[in-house]
Amino acid sequence: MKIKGTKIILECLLEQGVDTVFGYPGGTILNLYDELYDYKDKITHILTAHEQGASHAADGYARSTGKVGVCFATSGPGATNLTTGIATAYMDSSPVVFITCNVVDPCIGTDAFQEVNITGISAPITKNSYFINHIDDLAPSIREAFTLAKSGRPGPVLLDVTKDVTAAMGEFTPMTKEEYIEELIKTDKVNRPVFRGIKHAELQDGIIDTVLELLEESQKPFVIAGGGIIKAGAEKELKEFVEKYDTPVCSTLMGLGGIDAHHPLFTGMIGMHGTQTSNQAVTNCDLIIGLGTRFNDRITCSSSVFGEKAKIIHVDIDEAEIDKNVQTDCSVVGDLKAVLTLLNQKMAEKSYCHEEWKKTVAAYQEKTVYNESKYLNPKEMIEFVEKETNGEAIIATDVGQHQMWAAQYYTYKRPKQSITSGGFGTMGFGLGAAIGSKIGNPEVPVVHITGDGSFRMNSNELATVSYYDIPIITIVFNNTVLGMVRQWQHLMYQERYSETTLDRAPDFVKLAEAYDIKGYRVDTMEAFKIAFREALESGKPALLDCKIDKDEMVNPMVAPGSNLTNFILD
Amino acid sequence: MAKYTLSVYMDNCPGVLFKITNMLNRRGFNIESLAAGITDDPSKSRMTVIVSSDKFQVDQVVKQMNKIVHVLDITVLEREKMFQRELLLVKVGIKDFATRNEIIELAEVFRGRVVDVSNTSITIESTGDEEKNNALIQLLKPYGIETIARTGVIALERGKYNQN
Ligand SMILES: Cc1ncc(C[n+]2csc(CCOP(=O)(O)OP(=O)(O)O)c2C)c(N)n1
Ligand SMILES: [Mg+2]
Repeated sequence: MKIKGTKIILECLLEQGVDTVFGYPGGTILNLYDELYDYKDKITHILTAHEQGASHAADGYARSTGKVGVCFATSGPGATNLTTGIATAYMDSSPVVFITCNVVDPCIGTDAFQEVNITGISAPITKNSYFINHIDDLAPSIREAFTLAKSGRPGPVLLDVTKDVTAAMGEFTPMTKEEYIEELIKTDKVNRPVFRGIKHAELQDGIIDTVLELLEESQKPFVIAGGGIIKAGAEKELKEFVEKYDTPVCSTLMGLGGIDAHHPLFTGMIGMHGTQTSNQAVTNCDLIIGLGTRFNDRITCSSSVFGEKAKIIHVDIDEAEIDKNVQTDCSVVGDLKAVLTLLNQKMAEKSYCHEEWKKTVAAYQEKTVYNESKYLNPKEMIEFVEKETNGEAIIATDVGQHQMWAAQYYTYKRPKQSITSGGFGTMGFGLGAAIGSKIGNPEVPVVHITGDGSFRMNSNELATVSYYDIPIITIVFNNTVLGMVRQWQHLMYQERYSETTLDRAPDFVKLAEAYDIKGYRVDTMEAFKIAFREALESGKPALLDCKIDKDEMVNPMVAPGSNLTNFILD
Repeated sequence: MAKYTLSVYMDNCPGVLFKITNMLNRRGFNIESLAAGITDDPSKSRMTVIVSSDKFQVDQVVKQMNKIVHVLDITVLEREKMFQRELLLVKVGIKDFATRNEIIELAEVFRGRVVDVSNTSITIESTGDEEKNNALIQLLKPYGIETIARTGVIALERGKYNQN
């Protein structure tokens, strides 16, 4: 059966179970948008205010649902506007398929109007970028792109299709997602290193026994649960493992929700703004068990002194993460769910007890004293949000102090509840991500926690929130400064506050109102409670502009490049 | 720092070389030479990469390359189990008849071949490992080298060791 290129694209999306696309049209992608007009009842398209917003929305959708996010953009500036979003998804292993259209093939390389080499630009920030200038490559590439985005360590993939291909007629044989995988497994292609994850990879012989030996030897074990737990859907297996092994467990920023933060074995977040308990525990333990974490420098602070007294076991699906940042004593490359299941089976007969060590860890009391806040207290605010949402809300954040407060003070109880740009630290991520999260999870309350600096970057997406009537509550932690940068200036640059003061427009309440969104000016905790309750009950989008003292700090804090217990703020 | 020789079997399609060099560059790996060519299967090519580094870094290079969709297989070739070749073309200026003869003699010692002669220059072709070609270049330098072109090293495993 011969059908048009644009139809092939949309049929392939349907095969993959896609029903939502975020995007923005333009000249070269006109054919695809024209086709989309006939697919209105099968595919919902969300038109954002900016391609960057669409990219973060598709990413937020992917993170909060576990499905592959999809994002469309036109060539040239449309495509380059995606790049921050692509890199953000890449650094946090979020599966998103980006589809851009380019100028017609004969014009490629001529600097035609709005031509840009987006496959080249995106190569280092995607798992693969496909340039498609032949109709026969279209369906196979799209199917491969979706498979690649989801398999192994997930991540973004980009497809750039020339405009003539979207108009061309091509042979099309329908094939479900499952059929495609079955076909792929029959071909040689599945033996490629990048597709190893598709067939259930055999674990290296005896490796689990080595892990068991190390577990047996250890008196003072400590688990670091990373974002990999969430990507692998291994939260149950993790819980079983830490309970069976009777070990304290912390989480990275990306791992929040991988274990219920109410769990008695949970010690809180680790790293630069980690808890005293987690940072002390990882420094004094004799065995670090890193599960789906890449030992990033925000976790280790100094990779040379990190885990000096301990042996390190590392389990990750990406072989390239093993021994990249820290040297391990034993490593397992594989799907965390499969590895932990196997480990739990092998541990079933045994019994473990680390009572002494647990007592020691429990004694690493948090020293943090919370100073009286001049205006609103971030901790109280977030705790109130948690209480009012029964701890069920999805929290989408931007980047800065407010992001750390959201990580520290909301008690995440399940995976995919904390949506934050960890690896790339993208200011302006939050609102788009919140839109994607709410569209993917219409039943769950979504709260967008942002700072005045971050919000100013992409507040244009309020237009999207308003138009589609997406009931997101945006809480602006308005400290009138680039708080996190100012905090570093305070601590490390003798309070020389160079270009971090944001005493300027707009008035966020008026801005919200301009978008036909209810805005609240909040100066006291009492006002905050009233406003938040009202916003939540209204079931409508809302914005709370909350006054925070500019000298409010994120504590604890470890100096970058130093030992994890060297707190410069506690 | 040692030199490691990587033999990479990969798709022969547009963009592959770019993706590999892009990755090597972005990860800051130290690449000495890189040469690729088509294989008996026209849809595949083989690339030889020389990495000047330590074992730890080389492992990283291999792992990162393995994440590129177009890569089918990578072998780190061990010194004793492989042979390497590089083709060198070098054009030397000649002042008189005597120097021309000296250059031809030098080339012969290195089992090189004269591929072009004119009144003002002579071009020699030499095949061998990198060190041999380096040595020849050193000896030719005093005569005044005009241009050099080198293919970069290619390598294969010796007979009894099988590569994919
Ligand atoms: C796009 C981008 N630009 C710059 C930075 C550097 N940066 C990190 S935190 C921060 C301050 C954020 O300010 P705000 O959003 O007001 O949050 P606050 O720290 O005040 O809570 C800046 C500028 C970044 N992470 N992302
Ligand atoms: Mg701020």
